[in-house]
Order: sequence, then structure tokens, then C-alpha cells
Amino acid sequence: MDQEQFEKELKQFDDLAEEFKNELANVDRGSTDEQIAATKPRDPELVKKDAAKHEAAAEESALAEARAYMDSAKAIISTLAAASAAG
Amino acid sequence: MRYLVILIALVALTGCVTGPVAETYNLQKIHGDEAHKLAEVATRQTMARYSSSMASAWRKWKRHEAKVKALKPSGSLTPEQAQIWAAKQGDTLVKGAEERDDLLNELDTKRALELEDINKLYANQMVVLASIVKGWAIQGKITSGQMAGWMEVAKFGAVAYIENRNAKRLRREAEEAAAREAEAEEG
Repeated sequence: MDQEQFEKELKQFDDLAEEFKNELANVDRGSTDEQIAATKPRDPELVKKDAAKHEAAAEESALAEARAYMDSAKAIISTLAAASAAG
Repeated sequence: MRYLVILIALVALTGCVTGPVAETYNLQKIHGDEAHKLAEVATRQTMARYSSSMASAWRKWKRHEAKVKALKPSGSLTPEQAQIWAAKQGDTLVKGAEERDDLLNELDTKRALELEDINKLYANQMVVLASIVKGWAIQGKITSGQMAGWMEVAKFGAVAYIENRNAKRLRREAEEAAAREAEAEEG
């Protein structure tokens, strides 16, 4: 085969390589880096710590409420006792 | 006089009900943010999408490989031309395989990363939800509406879990298919 024709035919490999490259470029590459960054989870250890704080705060709040009830009940009893003694 | 005293005492008691509230941590916000992220990842159908892309890359490669191997010169070649032809054919195949592997590696890395994130989001959701419900229980504040909300959000976690499980299966199937193809090629 003459050299010119040979080189022309050899170029078909480059054309096929280019075609394959373009085909791969059309494959869905999944989530973008921005999408992945936007859905990054919080550090699980920090979440656990926050959850523990939340539970401790809820407990403290419930205890404070119970104590307030107790104090009020005591106040009512002593007020009633005083009123009863006075009456 | 006695009734007036009782009335004052009752008013004081009512005031205490809404009295001091300990500092609360904004877990509901964390819960909302994480649930939103989890839903977003699930909506992207992450795992099915990556498996489909990887399969597509393999199909395109097989077609390309066949075309390159089928390429024949139109006439007879000198020994030197034949050597150049064979080298060019081999080089085209090697470069194509490298490009294919680069893409497969990129997809695999992203899939693993997102899978790990889904697992973490799911675990975070469970920790946060359990804590919130526990807090409500401690304070006696759980209502049926809140319980329904809990169930609704727990579904997000379940969706992610199922997607994760399916992804593992799809990945195993893809790897098995690739191994079979490799074996067939060698054969």
C-alpha cells in the first residue's frame, strides 16, 4: 500500500479513539461535587453529643417544672393552713 | 377571705406551669436539615444511577473495542507498515481502556462516597429522632401529631436504607458480570 493511503487508513484509529472519548463524555457522571458537598452529613459524634444535651435539657426542664409544682403546692397548703387557723 | 386566698394560690400555681424552662438545643433544626439532605440524595437515586452509568461505560467500551479490532487495511501492507498498524491498534485499545478505567474509578469513588454519606445521614437521623422523642416523653409532650411526624420522617431513613441495600446488590451483580466478561474475553 502506498504510504499516503496507509497514513490515511491509519488515521481511522484516531477517529475511533475520538469517537470513544466523546461517547464516554456523554455518560452520566452522577452527582456533582456541589451536590455531594450540599448533602454532606454532620459529624455523627457531634450529633450524638447534641442529642445527649437535648435529653439532659429536657430532663432538667421537666424537673424544674415538677419542683415548681411542689413549691406551689407547699405554698397553697401553708396558705390554707394559715387561713384556716385565722378563720 | 378564704376563697380569695385560694384563688390567689391557684393563679400562682398556674404561673409556675409556664415557668422556668431549661435551655433547649435546636435538634429539630438539625433533624430538618439532615432529613432534607437524605431526601435529596434519595431523590437523585444515587445508587441506581451510578450502576447504570458504569454499565453504560462498559457497553460503550465493548463496542469501541470491537470496532478497533475489526479495522483492517484495504490493501496489503509492507512488513514495516504491518508493524506500525499493529502498534497503532494496540495503542488505541490501551488508551481506550485507560479512559474507561478512569471513568469507572471516578464513578466508583463517587458511589462509595455517597453511600457512606447516606449511611451517616441515616444514622444521624435515627439518633436525632430518638433523642427528640425521648425529650418529648420526659416532658410529657408527645402528641399523636408528633408521633405521626416521627413515623413520616423515619420513612426517609428507611428509603435510604433500602437504596443502600439495593446498591450493594447492584454493585455485586455488576462486578460479577464484569468478571464473567473478563473470563469470556480470556477464553
